Amino acid sequence: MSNPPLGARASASAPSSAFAPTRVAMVGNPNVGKTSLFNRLCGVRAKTANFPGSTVEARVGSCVGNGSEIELVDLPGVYAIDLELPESKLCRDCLAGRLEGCMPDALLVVIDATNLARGLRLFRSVANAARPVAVALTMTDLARARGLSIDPARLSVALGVPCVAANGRDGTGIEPLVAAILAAREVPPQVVAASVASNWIDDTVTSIVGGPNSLGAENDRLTDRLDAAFTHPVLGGLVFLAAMATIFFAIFRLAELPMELIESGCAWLQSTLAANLPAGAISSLLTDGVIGGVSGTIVFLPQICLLFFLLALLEDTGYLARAAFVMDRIMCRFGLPGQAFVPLLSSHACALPGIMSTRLIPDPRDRLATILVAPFVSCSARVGVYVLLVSILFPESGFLAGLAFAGCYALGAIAALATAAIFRRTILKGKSRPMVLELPPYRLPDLRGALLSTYDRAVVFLKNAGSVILAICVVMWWISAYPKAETPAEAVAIEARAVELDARGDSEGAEALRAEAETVTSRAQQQQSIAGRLGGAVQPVFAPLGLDDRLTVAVLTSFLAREVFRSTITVLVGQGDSEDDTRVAGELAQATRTDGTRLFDPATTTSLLVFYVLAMQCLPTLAVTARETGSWKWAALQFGWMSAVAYLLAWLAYVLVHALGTGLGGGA
Amino acid sequence: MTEPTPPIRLPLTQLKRGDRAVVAESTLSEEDRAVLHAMGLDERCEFTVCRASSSGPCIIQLDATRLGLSPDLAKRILTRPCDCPDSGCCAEEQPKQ
Repeated sequence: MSNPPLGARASASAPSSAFAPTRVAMVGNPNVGKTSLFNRLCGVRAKTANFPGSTVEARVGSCVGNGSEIELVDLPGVYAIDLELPESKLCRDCLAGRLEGCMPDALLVVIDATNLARGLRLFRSVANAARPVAVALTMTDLARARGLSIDPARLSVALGVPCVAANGRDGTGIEPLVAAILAAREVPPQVVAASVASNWIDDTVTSIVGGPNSLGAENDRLTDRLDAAFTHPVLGGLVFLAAMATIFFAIFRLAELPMELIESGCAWLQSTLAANLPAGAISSLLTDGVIGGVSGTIVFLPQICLLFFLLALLEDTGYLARAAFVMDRIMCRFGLPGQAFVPLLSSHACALPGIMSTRLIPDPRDRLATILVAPFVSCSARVGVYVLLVSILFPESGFLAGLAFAGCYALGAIAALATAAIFRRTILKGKSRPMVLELPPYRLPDLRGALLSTYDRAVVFLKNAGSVILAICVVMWWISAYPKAETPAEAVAIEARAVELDARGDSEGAEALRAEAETVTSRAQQQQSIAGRLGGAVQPVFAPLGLDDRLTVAVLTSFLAREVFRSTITVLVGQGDSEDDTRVAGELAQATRTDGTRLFDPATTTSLLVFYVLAMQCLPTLAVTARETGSWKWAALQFGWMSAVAYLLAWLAYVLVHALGTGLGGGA
Repeated sequence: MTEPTPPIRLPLTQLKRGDRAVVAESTLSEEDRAVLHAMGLDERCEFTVCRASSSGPCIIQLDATRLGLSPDLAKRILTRPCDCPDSGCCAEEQPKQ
């Protein structure tokens, strides 16, 4: 049962205190329920904090106790603070006051009642006489189920600090916990000092729980059976595939409607602004640059929310830790850990949530390798380009078109795994963290915690979309829109003919001519703009792939987002854009070069297809890579490597198809 | 009466489900050993095998905690199987550090 808001309860009933620690750092082992407590204490009043030089993050939030605001810092779960691991270093730095804005006034050590000895070891390493400490004892329900009985009051006496049993999932013990944090200052420093003597851990465990051994092993039989199934080479693989298929289905299907709503909302906003603002640079900037650009990113918000919500639920059940072992057998051959499978699968929907979900991976090198290769996996934005190019290549054969389509997905996956293997043996060379994971007990997921975690991720994503991605979109709009080209004479003539048709009452014909005039004007603008001129200058680089200047411009503008390829190329080739893929593909297949040969000949179309499978053409993904790795250096490497691989393989494809002289392209 | 523990050392991967054992020694690096020690798997602890395999993950139970170890890691941990009937008896035979 949920409790009323903490602030109301705490301010009404907590005893008055002259002192309230303003910042409290929460320290605990992984899987002890620390974040559940944090979520219960802070609710939505929390945000993710990234500290300079650290790839690990903490969460900062606030709650009200005794009328005073307490700032809580949820440090990452650690087994010990002296380990050479990023999360241990972050804890060390925080406790030593080396992180700006993270010097705690007090500590809240969270200890799992079912594993008291390990919790006390951490307590001993972080407690010192200089800083007030309180202890939250979690998992007391599980301890009771195992036949353990731990009295927080006795533990409090043994530790010399306030100790309270609390459960973040159902909210029990939260109010006394806040009181304990406030009361921590009353502990004389010498009591804490005395509690860190040798053999103190064994003595304390023995006196509190009667010995270090677990009781109630009967309760482990179900866990044994589930573990045997979930980590079985065959059955475990099937369960994992079923779980991932469900997530994949949810990301693709359940997100469809909200994505359409976001698209429609942005389109409505664009048209409303365009209709109400005077035509000019400001209107174009707002409608095409800001809304047009940012909407292309925030449209993925439903997928991101669904992914993180489902992953949080799955992680909470205890299954995800077992799944990591199932996939580790396969992924380790490519230098990736088992946990990398979830981000790579998620990237099939969109690389943005895929990269963000790499936070599941504990080893920094493994995580970096996964981030760098995730965009190779074919995302949903590529589908439109695949459909168009495959339709041009195989207009008559649905079977071959389907095969080519599947081949695109296979090529992306192979490139991702091969790149991971190369990177892990070269620039990311080094031993991975040994695959040892604590397998948390199976339990029902915490819906509230999953929703809060999803909310947190959504806020991070939207902040990124509203800052870095917005800036990039505005720059891209500017180089595509300036300098302004004069309206071409051809467009003026077509417009004049449209006026004549209007005068004759043929409004339908006039409208068609006006659309044609607009296409001609857009084409002239594309060619005159900085991006267009750049395309002309860069065309010799792409000539070995069979690209002329129009295809080069289409490829260059696709570096903003690959899905713009279709609209750009239809404008440049002079065809009207249409929802009908077959019609657009048919018209593009007839387009010719200046020498009269086909623009989309089989060799060029194949090389374009390979290029679009492999190239990094998504600025939002680069921005998220920079954010998640803490450096634009890695984003630059990702861009350079993917572009180089794409170029090389596209060139090879062009040469091969050209040499074979196949009957691709419907034999035309 | 408890029989003396046989002086054999087996890699963790060679134990069977339900076996109890104590970590005898490991050929792990200092860094890896420190991680395992922090997780509770040190050279004094007794554990029960839930799943052992030389090709798949090994799962052991330490008190109330379950740890999953990759086979590469598990085979580098040498264990001394326990024959005594009581849980915790083998750990007590080890000198405390």
